[in-house]
Amino acid sequence: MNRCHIVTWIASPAGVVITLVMLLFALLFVQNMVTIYTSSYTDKDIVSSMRIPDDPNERITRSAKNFLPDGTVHLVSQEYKYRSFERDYSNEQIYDVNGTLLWKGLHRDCPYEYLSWAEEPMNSSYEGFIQYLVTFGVELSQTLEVPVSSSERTEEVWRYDPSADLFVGYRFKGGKIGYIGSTGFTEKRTEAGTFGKLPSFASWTNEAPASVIMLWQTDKCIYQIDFAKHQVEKVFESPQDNIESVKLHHWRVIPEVSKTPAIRYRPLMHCATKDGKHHLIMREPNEILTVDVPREWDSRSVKFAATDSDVFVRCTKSDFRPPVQREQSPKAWEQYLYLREYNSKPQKRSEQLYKVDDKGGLELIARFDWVRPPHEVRIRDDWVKAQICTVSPPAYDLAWYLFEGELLRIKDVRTGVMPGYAGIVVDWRPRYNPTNWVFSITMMIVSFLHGWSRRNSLARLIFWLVLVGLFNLAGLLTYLAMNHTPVIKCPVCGKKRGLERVDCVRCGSVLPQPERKKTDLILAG
Amino acid sequence: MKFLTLMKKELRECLPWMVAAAAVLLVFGTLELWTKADPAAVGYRYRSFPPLSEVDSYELIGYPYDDIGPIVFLSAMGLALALGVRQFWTDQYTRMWGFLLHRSTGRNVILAAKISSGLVAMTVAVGFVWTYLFWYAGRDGFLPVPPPARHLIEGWLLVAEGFVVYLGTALAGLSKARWYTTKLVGIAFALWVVVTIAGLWKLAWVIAVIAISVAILLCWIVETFLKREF
Repeated sequence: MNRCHIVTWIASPAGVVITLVMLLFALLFVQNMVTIYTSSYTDKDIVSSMRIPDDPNERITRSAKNFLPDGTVHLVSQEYKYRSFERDYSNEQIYDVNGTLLWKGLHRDCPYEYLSWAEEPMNSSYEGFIQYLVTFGVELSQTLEVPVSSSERTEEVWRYDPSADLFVGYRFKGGKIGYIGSTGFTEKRTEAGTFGKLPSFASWTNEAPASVIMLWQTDKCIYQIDFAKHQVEKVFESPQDNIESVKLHHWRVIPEVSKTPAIRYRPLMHCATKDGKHHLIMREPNEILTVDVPREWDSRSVKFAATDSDVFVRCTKSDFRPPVQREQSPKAWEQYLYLREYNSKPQKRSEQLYKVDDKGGLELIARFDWVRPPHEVRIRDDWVKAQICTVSPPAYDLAWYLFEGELLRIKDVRTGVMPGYAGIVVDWRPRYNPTNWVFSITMMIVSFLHGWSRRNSLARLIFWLVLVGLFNLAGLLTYLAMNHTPVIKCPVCGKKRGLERVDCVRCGSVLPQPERKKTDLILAG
Repeated sequence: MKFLTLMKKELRECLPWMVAAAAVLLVFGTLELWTKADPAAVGYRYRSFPPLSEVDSYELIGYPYDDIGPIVFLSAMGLALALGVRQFWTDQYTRMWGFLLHRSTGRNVILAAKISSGLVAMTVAVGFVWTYLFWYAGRDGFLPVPPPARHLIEGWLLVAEGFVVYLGTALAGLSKARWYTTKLVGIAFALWVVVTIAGLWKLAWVIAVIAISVAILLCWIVETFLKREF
């Protein structure tokens, strides 16, 4: 094959694609700007949502359902003033289950102490955090570095090496200390075991001199790393399925800001695995307990707490099930429809408190049922955005129709550029809007009128019409950028004809040669 | 032989821009490294945390080259734009096409000499200087924690990004379209590639995107150059 042909075959389609992509981005930029400009007029104040509602049903819905250790349920409503979210200074109203007001005042003066529950660490990294660190950019990739300090200055720095999947230690004055991996501290790299795929980690400091303790969670194991002591403890290893979530309660020694607690808790790590099991790792004394909760419980709403005498579990139940779960059929799932369906009906809700026995069995000790009233759903800017999306390419709808599940999956990823591109299709698609189709057809008619007199081949013209139909305004602009040539009036039939073609598309007559001038004699023959 | 002669001529014309880019990178890069190696600055970077407190994951992020990376990037981009304009966009001032196309050699040799000299200029003026800075920072005892080897590759990828911008500028210079239609598509494409790459975390993907965009731009440039009437 001729080298020039290869270049032409690559260059011509590449020119079309690149021009189209650039125009799609330009269009997106304009659409975005218009949306931002219009949304600035439709923003509503959020203060009303921070007040305690007067309607009892609404108040019950929005109140916290707290349990005392004896199983008594209290409904706690909070009101934040001046948009300050400092909890100690929020106004609180406490009701019993019959709606009788028991107490009101500032949170810090509250006479009751409720059971608190294991929560995911607020400061934990998200899945893909390491990918975020090594993302290529102008500032080059970042690193995860843990300093170990004495009371005066930094003594060591431990850096996580993503390619080797272990920590490498350096002395601050220079020189390498060793490696920390799944097998513990070692001076030789070959002896350090890798940790495994990392979903997340959380860190805190111990007593002075403060050195960092890190909870390193992989798919199967949870390690606790003490960098100052060069120690690695395998806290938990899932026997079967992968770890889904880790919640902590009094695991770390974080000083209480408020008054001395009356309930004495044991340090607890609640580890949920994907096979639906809940593993409780407790200390003082050390104990591991596996709890099988009923299958119908939503794993995310299950919370544990361990006191000196008992282990408690609470769960929130709702009768509502979306018509088709996203995981079961991504094709039929749409967030908007789900929200509308969910909010438009009254919902039966239940808060239940159980005690866990020594063998992991559950004993119900309290429950509170209520009905959540229906809500009106108004998704802000929905109408405005729908109008702006009229000029979006129908190809986005086609991509959505064919790859809906895949697009949603990519969009949910938190690192890289692909979520952004998937988000463009998901967020800016015309949503099968008939106005969009009319607009596309109009663009095709304009291209047809422009291209008919300039056409070189019918196949080429059809290709451009399809492209304009799929990409709407961006397609039309691409067509014009790549195909605009001057037209003249045919001297035989008097109709328009393009200058890129030798014969007239209507009458077939060849393009007349210009009359010779005197100077042409030199070139004649 | 003619190719080498043409390339030498191009390199001679590019020399001032090469020297300027290399000097900027060397001076500001070295200053930044000295700042990073200053004991006070190093102490500030590795902060100590209060006892019995939670440590935010973001507080453990280290930015070994957060200031030098942008200098490499700006040097590469600046040199790419300057070379692209100098070699392909200044015909009305220098009458270079009239001069070059009347040599006893083919158009493809002229184009190859120009693009090769651009590649050499980027490599020497930015790539080699970056390698020197990396070596300088990695010497024993200069920084408590030496920079990871991955950063050397990333710096070279910034140079490669500069080459993509150079090709985009060359394409824009060769295009005879009006500026408000498709003349600047080459530069817009190169910038889009730069933005797209900035979100990738696997270096293999970065290399693939750069390789594909260089191939596309080269084909487009060759076709435009061979078809163009001068």
